[in-house]
Amino acid sequence: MTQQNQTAPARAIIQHPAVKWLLQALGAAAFILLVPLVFKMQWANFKPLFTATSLRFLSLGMLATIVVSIEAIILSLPLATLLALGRISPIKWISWPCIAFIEVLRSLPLLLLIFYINLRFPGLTIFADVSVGSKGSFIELLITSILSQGGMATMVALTFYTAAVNAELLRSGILSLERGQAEAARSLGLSYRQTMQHVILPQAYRRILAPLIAQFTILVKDTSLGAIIGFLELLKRGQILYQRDFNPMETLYVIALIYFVINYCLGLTQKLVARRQPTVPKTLTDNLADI
Amino acid sequence: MSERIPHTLGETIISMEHIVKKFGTFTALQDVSLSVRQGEVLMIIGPSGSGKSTLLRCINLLERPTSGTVIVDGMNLTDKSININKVREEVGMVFQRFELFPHLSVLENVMLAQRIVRKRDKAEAEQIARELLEKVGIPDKAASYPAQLSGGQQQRVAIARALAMQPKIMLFDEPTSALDPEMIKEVLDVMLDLAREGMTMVVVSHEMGFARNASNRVVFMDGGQIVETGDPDDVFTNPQHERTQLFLSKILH
Ligand SMILES: Nc1ncnc2c1ncn2[C@@H]1O[C@H](COP(=O)(O)OP(=O)(O)O)[C@@H](O)[C@H]1O
Ligand SMILES: [Mg+2]
Repeated sequence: MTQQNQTAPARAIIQHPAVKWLLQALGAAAFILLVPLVFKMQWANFKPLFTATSLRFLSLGMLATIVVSIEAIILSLPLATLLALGRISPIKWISWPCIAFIEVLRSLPLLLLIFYINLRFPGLTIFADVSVGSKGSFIELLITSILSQGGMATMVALTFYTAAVNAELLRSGILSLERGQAEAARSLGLSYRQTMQHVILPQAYRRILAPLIAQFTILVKDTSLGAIIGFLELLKRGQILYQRDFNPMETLYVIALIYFVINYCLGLTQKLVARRQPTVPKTLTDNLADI
Repeated sequence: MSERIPHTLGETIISMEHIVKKFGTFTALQDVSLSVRQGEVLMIIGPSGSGKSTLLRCINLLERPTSGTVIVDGMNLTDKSININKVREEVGMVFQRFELFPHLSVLENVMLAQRIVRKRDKAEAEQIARELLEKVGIPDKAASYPAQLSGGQQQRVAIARALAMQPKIMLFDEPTSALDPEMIKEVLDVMLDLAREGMTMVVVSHEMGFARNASNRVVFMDGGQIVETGDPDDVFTNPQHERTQLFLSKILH
């Protein structure tokens, strides 16, 4: 009894958001410092990475990765919505093509899709391909690498692939809702389209938010496949650097940190969206340990 | 409970003729005919699975009859060219499990269809919503979300949501059977007020007190058919059919 009384304030302090955040940050920092030690990285090998030219070179890759990811995420969302709605349509000539599109794209290796789009649509861009030696201002180089044939083909492949995967996710979200929700909306005089738009989709998207963001994290990582068709993104630029400076471990470590930060920020958007949601009854995870 | 409410009846507003509803090979409604006049409060009672909900849902076409005609407010619903959304604007429905939209606040729940279907501007829709929340006795919950309300409060919001469309007819499908006993009265009181105002209501419910005070006619269904129809007092105290007697003896203990 007394022991519980003593631990209660301690627990309250640990659970305070600011303290929680601080502990997490300390943990992350410790981890980040530990990895180079365990893998016996050399401080000297980090130095070439922090020169102005290397930093500029890597930043271009990082921004190309981020921009192509954002493009694909934004474009995939409406496409996924249309595919999911098409698939549950009672009209066969709408649902069948959607089913075919979703199932085919989901079953293919993403790399195959990237190869295919790159070969089948060679004219995706008006820009000449950038290569490592290309001259130009930072912005020029960034735009040309994003809009290069490799960048565009990667973006298009990721958009279609992610849309197909997310369409299935969204469909499961829609089907998990009570039938009564649609009946209530329809009985108020809302049309099918209005019911979907205002009642079903908002709830379905909230339900699938976590796996949806997880799929976007995968998308960010998979931009690196674009390197194979010449998209100068983050990982490819890292590879070019370490082949020059002979410091693969250290370079890859820095690149890994950058990917981690990008995806961590992506995860934070989930918290932001979730915070705007109304209070609903506690979900299982809220009190799993208390049951 | 209070006095029995007097009813002034107008024209026929719902007319169902020879309704048959099949689910696959199973026949849920076998040749049911029923008409309701303006201002009527019609109760439908009967054992579980007797087709009460199915019949009610045929009135706003949540269930499409296999054959037969349904005419609501002069519109023939079984006519393929009818715009079903137009009919539903005039027919409010209250469900057993409330079916409030959990992602919208109470106020937004009551405003949604007003804005989208009735095309009212925001201020007008909000004013109507607030008046209705006042009427159902929960003006202070406007900003809450459905999950924060008790069952009785949720059902009252659901009634306000349906009333916001200013329907000519209200359908209730067991509005109190998902509620804890102490919350049943607050919902029935709102329904009683509606009946007093002359709303045309079709109510599937076994609330005998409500039936006696608020309704002018009771329909007893069994096996997908209407077995007996009559004044509530007559049906409850002096049922004519054996199946009605058997059913009432079970629920009246
Ligand atoms: N969508 C459906 N599919 C198949 N059978 C159904 C469906 N809806 C209702 N039924 C059946 O029709 C019968 C009548 O159902 P219902 O109208 O809900 O009865 P009640 O409301 O009187 O309990 C029941 O036997 C039920 O199982
Ligand atoms: Mg029922």
